[in-house]
Amino acid sequence: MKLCVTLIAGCAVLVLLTPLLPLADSTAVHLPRALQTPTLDIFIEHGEPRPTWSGPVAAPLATLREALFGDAQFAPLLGTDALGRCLLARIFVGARVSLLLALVASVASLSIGALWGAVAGMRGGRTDQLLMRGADVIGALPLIFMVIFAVALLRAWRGAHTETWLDQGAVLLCITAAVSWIPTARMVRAEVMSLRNATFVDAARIAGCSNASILRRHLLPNAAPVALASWTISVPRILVLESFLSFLGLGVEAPGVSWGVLLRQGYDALTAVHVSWWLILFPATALAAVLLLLGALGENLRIRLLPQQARGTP
Amino acid sequence: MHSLRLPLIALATVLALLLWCFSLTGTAPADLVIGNGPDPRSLDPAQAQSVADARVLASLFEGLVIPDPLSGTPAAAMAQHWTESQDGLRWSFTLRPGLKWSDGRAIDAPDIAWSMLRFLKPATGARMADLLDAVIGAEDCRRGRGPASAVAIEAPDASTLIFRLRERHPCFLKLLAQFPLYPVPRHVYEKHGAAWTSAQHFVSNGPFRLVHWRLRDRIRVERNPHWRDAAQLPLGSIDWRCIDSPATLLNLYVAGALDIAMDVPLSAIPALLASPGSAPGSDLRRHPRLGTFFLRMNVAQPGFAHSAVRRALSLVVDRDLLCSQLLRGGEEPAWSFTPTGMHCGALPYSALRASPLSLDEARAELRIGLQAQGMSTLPAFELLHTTDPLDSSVAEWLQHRYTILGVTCKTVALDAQSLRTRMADGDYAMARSSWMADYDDASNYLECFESSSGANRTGWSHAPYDALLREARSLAGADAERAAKLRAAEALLLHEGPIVPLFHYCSRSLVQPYVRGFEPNPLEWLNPAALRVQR
Amino acid sequence: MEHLPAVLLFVLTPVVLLVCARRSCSARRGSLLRRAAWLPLTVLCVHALSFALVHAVPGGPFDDDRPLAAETRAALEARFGLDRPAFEQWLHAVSGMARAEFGPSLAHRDHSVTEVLVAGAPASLLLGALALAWTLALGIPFGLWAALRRGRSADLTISACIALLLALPTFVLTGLLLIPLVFWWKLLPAAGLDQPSAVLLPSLCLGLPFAAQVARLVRSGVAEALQGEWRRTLVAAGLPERAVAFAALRLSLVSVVAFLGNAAAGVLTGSLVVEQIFAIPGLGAHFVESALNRDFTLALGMVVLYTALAYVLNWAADLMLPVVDPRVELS
Repeated sequence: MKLCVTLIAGCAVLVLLTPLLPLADSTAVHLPRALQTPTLDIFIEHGEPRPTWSGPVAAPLATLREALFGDAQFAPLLGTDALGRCLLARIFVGARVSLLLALVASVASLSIGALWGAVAGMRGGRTDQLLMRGADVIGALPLIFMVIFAVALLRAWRGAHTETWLDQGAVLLCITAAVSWIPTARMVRAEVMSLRNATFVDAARIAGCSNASILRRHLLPNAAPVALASWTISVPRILVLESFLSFLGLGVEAPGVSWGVLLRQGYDALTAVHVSWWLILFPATALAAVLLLLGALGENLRIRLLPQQARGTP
Repeated sequence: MHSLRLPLIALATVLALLLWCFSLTGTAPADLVIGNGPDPRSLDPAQAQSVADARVLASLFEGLVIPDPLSGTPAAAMAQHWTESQDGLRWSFTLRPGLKWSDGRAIDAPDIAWSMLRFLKPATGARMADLLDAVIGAEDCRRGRGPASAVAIEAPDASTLIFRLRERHPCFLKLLAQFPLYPVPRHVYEKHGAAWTSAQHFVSNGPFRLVHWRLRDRIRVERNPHWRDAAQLPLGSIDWRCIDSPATLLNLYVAGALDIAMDVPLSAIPALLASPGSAPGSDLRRHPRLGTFFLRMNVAQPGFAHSAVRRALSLVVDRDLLCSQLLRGGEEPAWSFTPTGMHCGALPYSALRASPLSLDEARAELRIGLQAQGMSTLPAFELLHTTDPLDSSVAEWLQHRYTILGVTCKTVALDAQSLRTRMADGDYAMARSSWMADYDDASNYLECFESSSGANRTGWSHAPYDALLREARSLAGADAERAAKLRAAEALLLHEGPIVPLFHYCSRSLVQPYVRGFEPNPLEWLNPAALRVQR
Repeated sequence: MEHLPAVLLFVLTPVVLLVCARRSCSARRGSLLRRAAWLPLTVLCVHALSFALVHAVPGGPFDDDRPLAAETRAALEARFGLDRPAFEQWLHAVSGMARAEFGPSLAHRDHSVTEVLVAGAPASLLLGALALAWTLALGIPFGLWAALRRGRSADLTISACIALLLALPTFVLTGLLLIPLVFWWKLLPAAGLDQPSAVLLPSLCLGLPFAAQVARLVRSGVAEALQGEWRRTLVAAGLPERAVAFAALRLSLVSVVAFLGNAAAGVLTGSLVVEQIFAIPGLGAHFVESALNRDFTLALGMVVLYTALAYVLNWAADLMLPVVDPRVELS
């Protein structure tokens, strides 16, 4: 558990501090060295184009980097892609996109799911039937299809309103959040239903509390461990969904980078006469490592937060 | 034992299903397997779409004449010989005797005339219905304004077909060799309607006939015994493999599953060129293609209205660098819209080349253009491209180039259909485009940007340009004068126009050494009747 | 009259089934009937939603590199019935669906949607069935082995593999297996479905994550069962160790069977990617392609097919439960 948390925290710090690291510019096209194999022969290089960062946090970090490292930066240790861009830098930049997206989308899906499940569990009866049947129908939809059309729709909408907040990341975020809240809703509903008949809830009801306040003050706090446990499961799931969509060409758009985009580009460059294995192996390793860590963390949290459930389910 | 019955039944069903699936996977290979491209949209010549579709159709059908891309002039096919009247307005074709459909029924001239009229009728929904506009009455007919009987395509007897034109056309014969005009069997069409293209009804008149078509897998064709030259046909059957990814084509080729791969992924070209002595590097065939990759600019967008801005954005792009370093597949840098090797009638048309601008010159042009519009900087704009990897690479590269000029452009990847819609709606600033020659004549390219052309879609309308093209059309028959007019028009297009030509395509294919009769050519045309295998 | 089958299927059948479910005395039959009643309703819902989405998307199937003349476009729209009001089109589509007819495909103009689906089904079915076969064939033995060697090196290795496989998305796993097996050692074909061996790697890539899940379920199920009281009873009654292990395995199969419905739905989604990577002529590729081509009819056909499949597979898994373990009552 400790190791797991430390490693995840380490990853997070690395990703947050990417502007500080002496990495190459992930967008700098450098054609003469396209599809270069990974090499440790040259470790540091000088005078290559440096990435530009903007934003309240990233820009000062980038300035600090200038001061610390000057024009020295890592050579493409993990090889380069078909346009000669450094894969190492791209994996780091992709991590920022993928992880941020997964984090925000999972919080959004947690909120939707918790609310939906709590209302269904609290009201019971017909409302419950209706809400959960609705969730079933949404869960039965072939997701990919819906996502394709939603992406196309939102893109067209965006086309009509250029310069809005709704960029590609936001589109992806809305969609992943909208389709991934169902398991959370089910878990929270079950928990709320079991709590609803508890004595302390009856007591609150006799004391004249309204449904809303019972929900807010008694049920939701008690259902929080369940919600948290379901959240730790949903982060890796959303991460996979994002990379899956990007892989199908429906997620993050080039030149934006996410791990799914990197893998897609890896497959595109892979042919029988030129096996550019590093373009698949390294992004895959990064993705797998993070998923593994998050999975382990989720499992641990679940055992700690829900000892009675963890025993029942494998 | 009762509890075991259900699982046993389920197991037996699953096994039977698996056996059925397996039986469908294995098929004996044909004499020649060609890795072609995506599934044709249709085997109805009027509905077919791409160059890959056209190759499949060329094995199933033949027109009055067939293209001979190497000599430039079409060769006789169904027609034995033909005559053109002095003024070029009356074309008379004499059919070969004994022509038959693949079901053994005779083909006569009225059949072909009927087929041409069907092609024109709006109900057919033919994509290139304007091909025959030069024929009297054809345009009215395809627009639903006139009867089919008014179209001047006549069959006075069983073996003569006469076309009368409203104006002299510079390359009427090349038009007739186009795949949309392949004859359609009237007797089958009238019996089955739109279902005539299904494999069990399909009848054609070419060297091969359809056996079966499995989507996303293959189209199998076999020798048509009723074809005029069936005895001389070297191949008994061909498999057209329908595979959309060039990388898959290459993998299958390397594994020996394909005899010809009609496309090779760009990323593999350097590796193939690095080993020219051994397979598969030695099997690579490349040939300049009559096709241009270019960007359209929408003159209605803020900043793009002035030609100096467009000129700066176009001529600052270093095409040589793009081709030699990014593409590296043998593409030719495009300093003109028409590709090199294009003809004007029978004469070679040597395109005029625009001269590149240095960075400083481009900045100056940009400044002039912006000042004329009362702007100080060009507003950030979007560059639309498709999700195709090549497209994305070029767009990303361009974005990087434009930052050097101080221009911000954002690349936006769209699926091909959305891109078409946005282009048709004029909802773009800059968008990737390409134009593949239907036939080898410079007018086929330059007429795209006439004000009235549906292919224009940039809002660019330039009276002198239109006038030059009109004059060129009136000079049909006098190729040298016509070429001069077209060259002048192209100079205008490059200087004033709404396009950034980037490169001319190069056709790339892999051909096993034992395959003979494969002639790389600028139209990527394949003569299936000439292919043979010599192991 | 045109809408009669649709009314029968989507209105009358669910109503009759629901009424019967309410009246039936056995809880088991009631739930069965309710489930059956919800199938057409779910399909109808999904169809309506997708239809609305499809028609809200800008751009039509006839936008082309060469713009069509207005007359030609109008003729094409009339041919495919796209010129009628949206509601009328929807009614027509629904009544077609009731007869398993989805109309002509707009992108594959020589094929009806039904033909496209039938043509793609064998390859996808083969791939999916083999993937499920891998799931069981690898998952159960390895899970059992790990449970019997609990705490020893075999168990640890298997558990580590399980954790790894569960973390890897299908398209990552495919890449990691593809490069060595196909490109370096050239053991297996890279694409197509020409030889029987061609289906080996795709189905393995598709099935492995689910095999890991099954192995995990079996491992924990068997291990838990072996700790119980009844193991001592059985051993004391003179049953050999192997028989006891099998009895424990049978207990753990309940969760495996319950999981299979999920796994089958996952295989459906996963095959989108695997079919694309290995260029398998199945259904999966039509999914993304039909949406991108604005092939409205094919897209709707695919959605309906996949929804119904996912529903039926889940249902079948639930029906299998009492067969594996008579203690489970249908709920």
